[in-house]
Amino acid sequence: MNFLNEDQVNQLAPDASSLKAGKDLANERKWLNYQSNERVLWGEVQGSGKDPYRTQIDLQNTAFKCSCPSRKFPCKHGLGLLFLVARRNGEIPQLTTEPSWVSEWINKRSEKAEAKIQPPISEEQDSEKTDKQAKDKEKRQNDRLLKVEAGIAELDLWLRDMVRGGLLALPEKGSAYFEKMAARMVDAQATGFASLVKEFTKINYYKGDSWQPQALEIAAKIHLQIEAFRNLDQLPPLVQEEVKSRVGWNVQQKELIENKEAETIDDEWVVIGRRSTQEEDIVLQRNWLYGCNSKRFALVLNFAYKTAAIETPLVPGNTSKARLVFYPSHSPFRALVKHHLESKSFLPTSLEGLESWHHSQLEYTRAIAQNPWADDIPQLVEHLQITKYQTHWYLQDTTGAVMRIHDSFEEAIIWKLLAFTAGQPTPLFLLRQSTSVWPLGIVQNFSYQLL
Amino acid sequence: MFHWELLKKTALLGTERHPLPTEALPASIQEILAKSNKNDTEGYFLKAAAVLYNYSRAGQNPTKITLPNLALEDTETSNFCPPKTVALWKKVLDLSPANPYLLELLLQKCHQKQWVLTDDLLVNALSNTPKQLLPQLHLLLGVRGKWLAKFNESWQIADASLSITQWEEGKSTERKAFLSELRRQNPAEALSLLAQAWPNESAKDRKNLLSTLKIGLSADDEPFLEQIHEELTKNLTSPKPVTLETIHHINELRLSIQGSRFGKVVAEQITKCITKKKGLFSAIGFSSANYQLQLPESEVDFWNGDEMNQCFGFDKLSSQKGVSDAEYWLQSLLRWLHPSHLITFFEGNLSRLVEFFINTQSKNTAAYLYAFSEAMAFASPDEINAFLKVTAHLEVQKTDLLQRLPWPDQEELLLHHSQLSFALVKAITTEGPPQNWSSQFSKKALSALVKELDGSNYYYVFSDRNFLNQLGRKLHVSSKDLLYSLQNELSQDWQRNYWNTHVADILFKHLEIKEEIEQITAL
Repeated sequence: MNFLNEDQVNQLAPDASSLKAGKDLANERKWLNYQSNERVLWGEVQGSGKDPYRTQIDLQNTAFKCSCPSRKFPCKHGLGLLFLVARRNGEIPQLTTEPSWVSEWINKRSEKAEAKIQPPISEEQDSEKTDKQAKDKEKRQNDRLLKVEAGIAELDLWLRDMVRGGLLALPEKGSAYFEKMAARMVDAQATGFASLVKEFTKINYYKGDSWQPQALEIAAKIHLQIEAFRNLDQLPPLVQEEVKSRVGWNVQQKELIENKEAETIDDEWVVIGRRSTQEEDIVLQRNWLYGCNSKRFALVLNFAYKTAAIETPLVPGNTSKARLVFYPSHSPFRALVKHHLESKSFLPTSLEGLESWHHSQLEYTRAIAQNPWADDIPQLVEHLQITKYQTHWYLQDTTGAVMRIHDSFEEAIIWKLLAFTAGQPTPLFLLRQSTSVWPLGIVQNFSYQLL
Repeated sequence: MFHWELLKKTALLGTERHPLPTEALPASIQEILAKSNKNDTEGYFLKAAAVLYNYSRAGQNPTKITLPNLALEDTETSNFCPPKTVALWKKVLDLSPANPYLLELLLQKCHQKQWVLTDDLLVNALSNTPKQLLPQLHLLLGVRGKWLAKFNESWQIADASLSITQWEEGKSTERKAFLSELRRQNPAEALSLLAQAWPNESAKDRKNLLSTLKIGLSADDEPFLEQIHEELTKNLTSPKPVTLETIHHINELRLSIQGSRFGKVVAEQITKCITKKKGLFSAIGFSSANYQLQLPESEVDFWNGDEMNQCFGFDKLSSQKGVSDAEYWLQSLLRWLHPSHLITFFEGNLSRLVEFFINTQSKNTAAYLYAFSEAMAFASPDEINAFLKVTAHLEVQKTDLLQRLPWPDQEELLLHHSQLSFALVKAITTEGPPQNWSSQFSKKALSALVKELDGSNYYYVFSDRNFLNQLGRKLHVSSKDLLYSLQNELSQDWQRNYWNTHVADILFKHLEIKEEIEQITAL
């Protein structure tokens, strides 16, 4: 039976209040009934309404449905049912035949999933219509290109003014100075540049001199991206795609899924880490995946507006049997889940990582050389031992080489790392940065312990 | 940090004031920059920065240094908690808000089984165990947990051993805490320490430290109290308020000691005012009605305002309407005088003593009994038990006295001799040590609780999480079946709803966990 443990259910909660309410509902007395079979878990719970709420969970793809009016996703009833089952270690009444309200939903989901695997049946297209659509698209692309070019010219001028005057003037500028330019970039449909400009506002200008190299680093990154965009037509097609995506020229999800030329990989993907951040009203969820057979890493991004639901079958720490489709790039990394078959709580095979920090550095250099815009590079590195020097934590390999754990890394997770490894050498999935690392989880035999 | 030093000056001052000195850059970078237009100073500088940034990112090999090896070498020899108990631990640690009383029970049960915590529980347990329970948690940490706890100061047990430095060099509150603890452990040693320090202490500290003698007060303390009393009252002309307060404390303590000389003197003055009627009935049998209280109507000898004020700090005049000065002083004395004097006077018959107070022809009757009940805290558990039985339906200090009895005696009294009010349930729930209530008593307590929903302050009562947490620890696990049916005793829908969501749901969850904890013993 494919039930999640409590830690995994915790990860699914959209916010703290839902988590608390969900835990409160993990009480048998509150449920009028609850059952499951191999593919679905369901139950009825008395809410404030006259009729009980009907809660259903697709166990293969971790999807939820509930008749309650909550706009949160999953709602507290879905979480409560999962907590209840997790606390009973999956020992709950089994029923092969589902009630009609359950089978109706789960069958529909299965049909949709099957339809996704089948390539769409080609229909005879109206060539005239297709030509018009292509022309319209080309016009839109050209219009956008002009807009972006104009925006970039403005940004370049702004950046040159900044370095001409010197960075010493930056602390006095205030965040409005950067936000104004970021807004101009949004108007110019160059959202990638907008994000880069906003990085200036995240610097603490009043904490020593550390802001100075940070500011120059951002300026350097912006310049690199401007130059790449200006020389776009001289770059190989896939590098062009990468540059365009960095500028904010994203391929639509639907378009990517329908693109027959896009790279797809069927694999057992370990969800090695998840991080959610909020930028203004948008929640960005990053999921890092590792293909057990392909040995490829992938990044699946999900977005939501404020507290709106992010529906994803990916469960951090679990392994998803899935087909990923990669965004076009010369170093494909960002991907979409095209088809999700099932999620398991164990590793299907043993995993082998990089031998030492030296190998990690070679791999990192290769990745940077290939894609100078890459930020966090996920890696699996063997035999890493946690250690401490003065107030900083480090990971040391068997050769004695050390990498510092990122300063923002939560101490609570350091304790977890210590508790699980007892300071002994262990294979770790981590996000590699130039001078520090961000541990994601520990590989122990055939299990993956998320940190 | 990429080659910042090379770019620093230009970056900070700007290209206009300080163009980039390219000769300082690495040769490979200079080669790349050679293709760029040097006259475009800003573009040239930005390109140098961008190239250096990536050059630096890609070329830094991790440092090789010798750092301490933190690895734990020892292996665990104790048994780990079985999976069912691990799941139970997660439930207890996950309770929100936390219930430290259930956690304490779980700690005790696991310790009885000599189990240690599994690796996945360690961080959660160490981070969510209140400081006062850390010593108990440490017993379950095992080799790995103890190793882990060293890394975080807040997980370590504070050194609870008494340090004489705390007494010799500590602040006033620390010295008092030290003396109180020593008094608990070794009253004679604490007394000796105080006696040694007494001459050199300030008046304020003397008063402050003296109160620690209440802990474990006995006849052994009397000589010291008499000595300091004599010293302080000798040649007393215009004492400072703090000295007077110290004298009052000394006398209160002297009164409270069983069989103390001072107590006897005061008791004699009191019993002198209790006269036995001579008559036919008294010859046949003893009755409290045969006794009457006759306090002096005007100030005489002992019953004197100045004396009472100087000796005990009582007001010179009664402020209560209809209560004479002597009646007021007697009430105040009864609060401190060891009850054995009056019990002996009434030949050990507590019901007769209580009846005497009730039959006193005074407006102060209830106050006498209440004050005497406060002094009953100095009596033996058997006397307290007997006193509580005879005063079951009277207004006396019950809670404090009950706490001095073992739980089975308390429960027996509460079940058979007392009206169980909500206030009493709350007091014994929150003030006593953790006990396991019987199912019969739990039922009675819950019935008192549900009635409180008719009161106007129910919100404040039931939002007290500490109260509910302790109830969840003390109630018998069988009461969880009763919880939801108690709603039938409520007449309003909102009351039933409130009871179910704010009381029953919480207690049910706690009792479910308590039941599982109790089952550990059977594992």
